[in-house]
Amino acid sequence: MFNKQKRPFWQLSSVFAVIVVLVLALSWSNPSEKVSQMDASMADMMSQELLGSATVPDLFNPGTMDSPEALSGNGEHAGHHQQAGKLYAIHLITTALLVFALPVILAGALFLAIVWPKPVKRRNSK
Amino acid sequence: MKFDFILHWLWALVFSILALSGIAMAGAKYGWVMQYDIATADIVHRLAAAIYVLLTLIVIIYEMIRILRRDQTRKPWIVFGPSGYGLFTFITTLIFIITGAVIWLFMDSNHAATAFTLWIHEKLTYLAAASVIWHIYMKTHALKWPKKKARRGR
Repeated sequence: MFNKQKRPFWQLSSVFAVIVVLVLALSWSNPSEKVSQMDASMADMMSQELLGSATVPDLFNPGTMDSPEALSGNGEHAGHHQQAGKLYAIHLITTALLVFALPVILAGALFLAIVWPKPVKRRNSK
Repeated sequence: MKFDFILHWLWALVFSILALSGIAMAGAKYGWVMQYDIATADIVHRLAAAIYVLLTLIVIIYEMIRILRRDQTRKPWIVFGPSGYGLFTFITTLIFIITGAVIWLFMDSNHAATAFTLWIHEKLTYLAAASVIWHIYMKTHALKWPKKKARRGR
């Protein structure tokens, strides 16, 4: 069943299996860490609550689907942007990096998408 | 040590951190991954995401320079490529970055867009994590330590 050449993969898998079992055992042995009854993931919950009644234009209109908490300024993220200190500086730097890098990444990806197929075609024709 | 080799393993490290911190935030079921410390998971995920964006930028610019210089040398460790797993990584990375940017920038202002992109971001994480296992299986030979004889032969 096992391919000899793939032995390093199974060795690596067994090491990870031991780590996972140890983490699970440690996690479950701690009584304060009980798993919540919420089985759905955050993305599934958000899409159930918000996307059921949303239309395609809602995806592009900021503020149209805001919750009452967010509108009143009492949302869970309210006040995050007023925070001073190291964390806020990191937030500013990383956000600036994302905003400036995104257009360059998209332009570069477009360039590669245009240029890449040619060598592949050449290779296939050989 | 080769540049593409360093980039590959740096990429693997950052992707692992992103996957673990992201799964910890995905839902209550997976919170145990980071001891239910969601605040730390959020900060770690954002910092790793900034490095991930920077690495993507470097790999794209590196690949563009190679093409413009008509560099035909084979780079077995390069993360992006025109076919196979390199192409899969390229496409999934772009989707991860675009959906991640929407979540990052519009979380407070557009809940519908956040919900939609978060759903794509999460489901793609499971697909990418499964593909990494397949990738390691296919490239098992890279895990073998090079033998001394083979080294001398070179």
